Amino acid sequence: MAESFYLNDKFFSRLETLALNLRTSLAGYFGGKHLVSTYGQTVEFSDFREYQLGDDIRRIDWNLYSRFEKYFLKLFTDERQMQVQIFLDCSASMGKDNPKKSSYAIAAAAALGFLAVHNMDKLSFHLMRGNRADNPFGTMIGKKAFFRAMGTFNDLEFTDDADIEACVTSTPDTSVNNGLTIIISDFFTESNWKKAVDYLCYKKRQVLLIQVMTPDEYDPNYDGRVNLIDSEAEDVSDFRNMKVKITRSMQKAYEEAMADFKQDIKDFCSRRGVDFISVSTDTPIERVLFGELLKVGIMA
Amino acid sequence: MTLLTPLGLLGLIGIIVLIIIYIIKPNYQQKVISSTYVWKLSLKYRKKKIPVNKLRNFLIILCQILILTAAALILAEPVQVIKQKADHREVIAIIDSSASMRTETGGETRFERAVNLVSELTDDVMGNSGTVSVILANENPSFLAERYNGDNRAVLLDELSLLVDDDVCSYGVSNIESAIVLCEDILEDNPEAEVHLFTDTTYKYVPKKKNGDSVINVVNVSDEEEYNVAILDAYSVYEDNFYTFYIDVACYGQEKNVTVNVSITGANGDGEFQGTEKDYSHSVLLSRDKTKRIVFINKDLYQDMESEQEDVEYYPLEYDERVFSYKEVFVYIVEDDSFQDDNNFLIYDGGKEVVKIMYKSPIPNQFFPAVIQNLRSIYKDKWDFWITEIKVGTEEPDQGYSGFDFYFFEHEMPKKMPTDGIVFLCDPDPNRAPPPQKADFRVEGQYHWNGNSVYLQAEDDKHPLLNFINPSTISISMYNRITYGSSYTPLLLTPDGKPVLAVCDEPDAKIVVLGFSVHYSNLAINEGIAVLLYNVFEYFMPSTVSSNSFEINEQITLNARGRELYVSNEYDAEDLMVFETFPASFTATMPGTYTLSQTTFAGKPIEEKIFVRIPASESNIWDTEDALGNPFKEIEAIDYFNDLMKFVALAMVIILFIEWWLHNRENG
Repeated sequence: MAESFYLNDKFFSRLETLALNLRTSLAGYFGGKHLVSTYGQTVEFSDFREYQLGDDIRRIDWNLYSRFEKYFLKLFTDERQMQVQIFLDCSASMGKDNPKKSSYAIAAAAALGFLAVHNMDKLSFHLMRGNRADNPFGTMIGKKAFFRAMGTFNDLEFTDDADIEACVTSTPDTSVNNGLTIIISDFFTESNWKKAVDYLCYKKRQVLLIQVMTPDEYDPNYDGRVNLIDSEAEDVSDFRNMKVKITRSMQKAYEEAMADFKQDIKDFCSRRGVDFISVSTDTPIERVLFGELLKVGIMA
Repeated sequence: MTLLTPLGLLGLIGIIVLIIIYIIKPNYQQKVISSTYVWKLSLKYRKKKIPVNKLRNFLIILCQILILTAAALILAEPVQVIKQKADHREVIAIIDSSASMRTETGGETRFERAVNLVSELTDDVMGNSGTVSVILANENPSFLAERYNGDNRAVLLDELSLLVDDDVCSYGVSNIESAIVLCEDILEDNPEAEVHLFTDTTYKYVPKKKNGDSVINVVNVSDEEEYNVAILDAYSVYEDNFYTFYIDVACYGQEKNVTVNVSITGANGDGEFQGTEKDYSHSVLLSRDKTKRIVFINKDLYQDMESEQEDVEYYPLEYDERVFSYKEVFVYIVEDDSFQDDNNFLIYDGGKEVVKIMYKSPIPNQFFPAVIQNLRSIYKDKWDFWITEIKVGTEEPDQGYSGFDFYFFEHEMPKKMPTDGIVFLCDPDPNRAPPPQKADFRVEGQYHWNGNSVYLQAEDDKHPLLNFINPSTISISMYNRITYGSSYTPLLLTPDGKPVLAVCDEPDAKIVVLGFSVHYSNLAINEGIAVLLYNVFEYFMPSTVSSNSFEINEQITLNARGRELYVSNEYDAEDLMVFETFPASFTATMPGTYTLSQTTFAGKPIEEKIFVRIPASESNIWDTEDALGNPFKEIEAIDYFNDLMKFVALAMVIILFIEWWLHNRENG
């Protein structure tokens, strides 16, 4: 069970000024605050077009008619409500033995969730464990429901492992082209999470992957003969555990493996137009929200 | 291969310990991490990049095992046995053949006794299939027989009997140390070989083996009855116009009252009178093994002496007994002792040879006669200079000058060059007389440097005539330029390379030409002319020997004033040595008087004598030495220099275990 020390009023009050910046090509639902590329009934002018049969004559711009003696319609932008799905990896690797990592992941999920409800979007938290993703809070609209959910977030347990592919693809309420899906994980998994991303792309959803890692995982500060116990291992003899003599060459190999691992995720995401950030838990969460996410453009 | 210290192999237990350590070594620390996912990825990277990792680990343990094995082997001291212990007895017999081994009792000398004992030992050893080596230890020891076995038994016994028959025992000292060195090779091959030394010398310390046995079995072949009365040395000293004779005598083995006899030949003679014979005798009590000096001394000198010494006895010579010159002094003791060869001694003087010198100059002066007088004082013990000065105006005989040993012409040249002596031409002035016929040089005329002086240079500064002369300090202002023939060797040159001093050293011509007058040179001031004349005498009339008394086996250097020199021994008339190249040298192996005969280039016969004596140390037939050498050099080396490799091996093992301990502690 991880108790996040980020989830407090001060944290959320700082997020009031931010908003999610989603693709305008998304369809979404009526209502909401996200500008989309389709024309709607808002008061914000967008464009003109010639009148066609069937158009509401009340929208004809008579000023233009007086100038060109042609009928033009005045078009206005449309604002939609999006569906924001946040998949949170609740496997043991995310925090069973490292509360800071779980807190960090929860805080990221909460911050993004707050931004969603703040923009009147539909929000759902999917907690990935094993082969399925639980949605204990259902679809939330509005801050009241959000904060109610936050009250129980501190009681989240990070146990077992998580099959991201199975969890994502088996989620039933994933609509097409109507929102953002965020996956928060360390991606230290044997499951083929790339298929999950492909599935979401197939569903024409905007996707954001947030990789959360601890400084130890970036740069292990232990050496010598070590029996590495995987936090997801069932017992000492689990195949995920390994005995290794960590030498300088081994540490160098780890650094290369880690760099290649992250580059592989980056390349994969880049090919599919998926946003990806990798954060370390020693990076202040504010820097992630106001820095990294702004950098990739998901935040505005 | 054999292990000198098999217990050292216990070090191999370390390998078992090493393997156990490697088995229990993986003391992995537990580390719970989020995921081993990246570590497993990194394993692939590592395998891909360092494929020899496992091999390296294997090599480390392999090296450690090898180090342990090497250390254990060092402790075990492995050796390769290249020879087996001899299955037969091997004996090395060293026979001392020094002069003292000639000591005789009951008709048998010590040397014969030693040879007989060696013969018995040979019989005994070879009778049991053993091997015998015999070393004859004289001044230069050598093998008489090297590792002879039974097949050579008769040959060896014959050789041993020939040692006695041919009187092989030397009259000199023996080099026992060298003889022992000769044993080293045999002992290296067979350390069990016995070394027996048959000698008459007592050794206070004989090296011992580790088991306490003596390395060398010293067999003393001397007899308690033996004693030796010896004349150790004798010489004369010219004191207050008369000779004093010093004679050192001793008796070894017993206390004896002996009579020392002195027989003088040619006493008080001179160039023409042959002298008389004089005999003295003096009885003296010789304490055992103590040297006593007998001094036959002028009575006047004896009376002036303040005190007498305990080990010196004086025999005052009456006025008619005194000797101011002599040819030879024979000293002898009539005693039936065990060693007869040192009972006599000869002091040879031979009398002074008369050297006739002729001086002729148209401008006679006292300079050169004074120089010759100076040389007379230098050679007063050797030569008697008779100087004849030819008066001015005296005509040279038609046949030329003759009958002198040294001809000195100043400012002129003889009409006919003398051939029976050395000719020294100083400033040969051609205006007075031309060079004699067949002189082989031509005087060109006088040359000078307008009153200035020039310094000379040497053509051959190593020539004996230029000994102690530095040419660069000799200056001249005028000289006679002379062109020399091929028989002359230029010695001093002017700065422009013209010879001013040359020498002719042919069998029938001994000529030195000094091309300038001492009036035009500083040669007279810096004593160079005296040195030059001294060198002329030393070069053309060298002493035949440096002394008249030598020891057995001492190298004697000989010079001659003629073409040949004959050396004969009084004991062996057939043993006549002829020398034709000088300086020559020979080593006298027999004691006694040697006669040196020669005829000078001028046809003058000369006969001299030298005496070769038994070394004084050999007269002591009961000699005692401090220590005997050890032929087992390598054993000594082991004793003195402990092998530190075992400590190195121990250190290696300790360091190895410390490394393991530190390594484990670091990983633990």
